Amino acid sequence: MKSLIIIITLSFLTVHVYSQQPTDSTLVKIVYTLGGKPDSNHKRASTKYTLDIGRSISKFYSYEKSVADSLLISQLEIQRNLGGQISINNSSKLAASDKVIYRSFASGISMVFDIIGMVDYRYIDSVKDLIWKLLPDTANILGYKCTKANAHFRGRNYEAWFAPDIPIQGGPYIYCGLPGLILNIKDDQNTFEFQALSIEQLVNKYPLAISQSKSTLISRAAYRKLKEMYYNNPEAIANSQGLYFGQGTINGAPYNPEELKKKRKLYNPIELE
Amino acid sequence: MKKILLILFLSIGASSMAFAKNEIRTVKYLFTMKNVLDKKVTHCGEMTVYTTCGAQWSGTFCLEQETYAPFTDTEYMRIIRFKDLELCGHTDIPE
Repeated sequence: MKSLIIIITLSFLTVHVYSQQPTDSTLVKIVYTLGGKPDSNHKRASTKYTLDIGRSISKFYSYEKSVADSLLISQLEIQRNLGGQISINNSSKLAASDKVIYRSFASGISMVFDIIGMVDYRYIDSVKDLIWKLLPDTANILGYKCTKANAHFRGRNYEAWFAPDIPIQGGPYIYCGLPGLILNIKDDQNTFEFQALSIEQLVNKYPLAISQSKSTLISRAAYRKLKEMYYNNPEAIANSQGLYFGQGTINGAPYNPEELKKKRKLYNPIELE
Repeated sequence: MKKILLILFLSIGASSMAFAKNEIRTVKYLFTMKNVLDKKVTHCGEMTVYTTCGAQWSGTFCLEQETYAPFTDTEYMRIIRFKDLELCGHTDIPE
């Protein structure tokens, strides 16, 4: 009987230990704006991204998207309870990124979460191919003396400005590996430019933990392939995920999906390789 | 009585116009269908999506699931985003 009690107690303890999540809290919050020109005649609508820095991990995500999603969910919740047709006020940033990047400082490995269609995916990214060349140029960004560095990373040439006085080896998106926080980074075509807008040392810290939500683990290569397919042919991905659309109308008139495809701009991801 | 009805009618009209300016998307749950062979449940609905690039899509959609539970809020959002991506392209996202 005693041994049975011990076994039961131990199994409860095991469950408890496994269900514990790594706890960290955000010490520093950096807000970046993303600008640049996705193509020659189209200036990107500026959006904000947040980099939360904790003791052991960092989290990079679209701040606007996270706020918009919670607003949209609350609208849906209220209206669904009322029954009938649901109307959603479009205050959300539909075109904001779903990508959330967690990086472990100890291992240097990132865990990237994203949504493709109806499914949540995640992949592991080691970012070992980011090799910087430090340059003598200096500039002042947000009152911090910054040093210039160049790197070629996954098909694009980058120019970055980092602050050696801020001892955080990170930056926006997945960029890292400089001896100080990256406050500005852009590619030589100016397709993407992240510019630090504010750096806040938090008094009221909030929890920072890697998402435990259900997601499918895939390789980075598989993710990239799937993402491109999703961009170029969303309907095919929808169908593969069990979602089917009727013909429908655009602005009240029947539409031709082939015509729509012709108007689409080229898929131009941040990582080309 | 007529006056009250007129005021009511006008205020409903005005509020729907105000909503139109704010770009409303509408979704309506239509029906559920059970496929006995592959044990999947198909949920269908209709919606109007006022996309981020201005085009308005109206039509029906069906989603195969393994439960009888109707669409969750997250599913509604993702279905809307599918159409938005198809119609607008989302070139602003650094994917």
